[in-house]
Amino acid sequence: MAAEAAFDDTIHAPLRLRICGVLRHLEEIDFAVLRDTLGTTDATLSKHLRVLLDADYISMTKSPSPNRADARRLTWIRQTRTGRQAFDAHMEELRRIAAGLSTTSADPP
Amino acid sequence: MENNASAEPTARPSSIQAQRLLHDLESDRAALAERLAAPGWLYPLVALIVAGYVATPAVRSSEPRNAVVGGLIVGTIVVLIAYQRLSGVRVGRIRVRAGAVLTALLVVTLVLLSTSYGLVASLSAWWVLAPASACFVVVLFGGRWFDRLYREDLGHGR
Repeated sequence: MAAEAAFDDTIHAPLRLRICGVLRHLEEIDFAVLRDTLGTTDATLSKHLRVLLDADYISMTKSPSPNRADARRLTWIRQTRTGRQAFDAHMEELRRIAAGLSTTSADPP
Repeated sequence: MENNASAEPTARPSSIQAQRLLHDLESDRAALAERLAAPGWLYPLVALIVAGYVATPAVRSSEPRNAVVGGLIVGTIVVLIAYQRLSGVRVGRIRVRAGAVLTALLVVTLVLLSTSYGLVASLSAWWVLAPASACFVVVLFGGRWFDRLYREDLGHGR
């Protein structure tokens, strides 16, 4: 069943939209893998993850890394249920805008 | 350029912009699906473990056999957890097609396990090599098929 369309300003920033898009289809992803998949930097990704974290759209946990002998840990990022619902609703609105069915797009009436 | 690192209200996109965003999301899914291709060692190792399980009826005494089965189960869990840590991804929900392949692999494994028991009871323990070998081949190719289907579903956003 399609989610009810609802534009979400928190999600809509391009990189945050892409973050949510990647997370939607996974249980969890490591910070470095997400960074490399999106082709962005640590600092930029961290800033946007903080916004999503503050909105309770994602959660983050740390675990030991099997690839490092030092104390560095993997940061796992997961989308919350709230985040999935918000993303699905936003995607539904984007599809409506792309199809010319929405009344809230930037297209002239 | 990505500078909006806050939750300020954003302008609504036009239909062309929305189409572009949807296309970008599709590209990300495709890149992720490509990245999730299993390493060459994973499915041969899993196939070996499962074939080992099918061969356990050759161990006639129950206690050593249970120890071997327990070891194989632990080994499977360790391999899967190690793969998750190395790949940096914990996979999400498995869709119908990939789930059907996984279920079929489980059923085939159980059938081959019961075949092993039958062969040991009626012939000799060496005969377990036949169902164990068949299991190795089935799990190896079935596992790769499951992997491909899962990544296809992921790439299409299913």
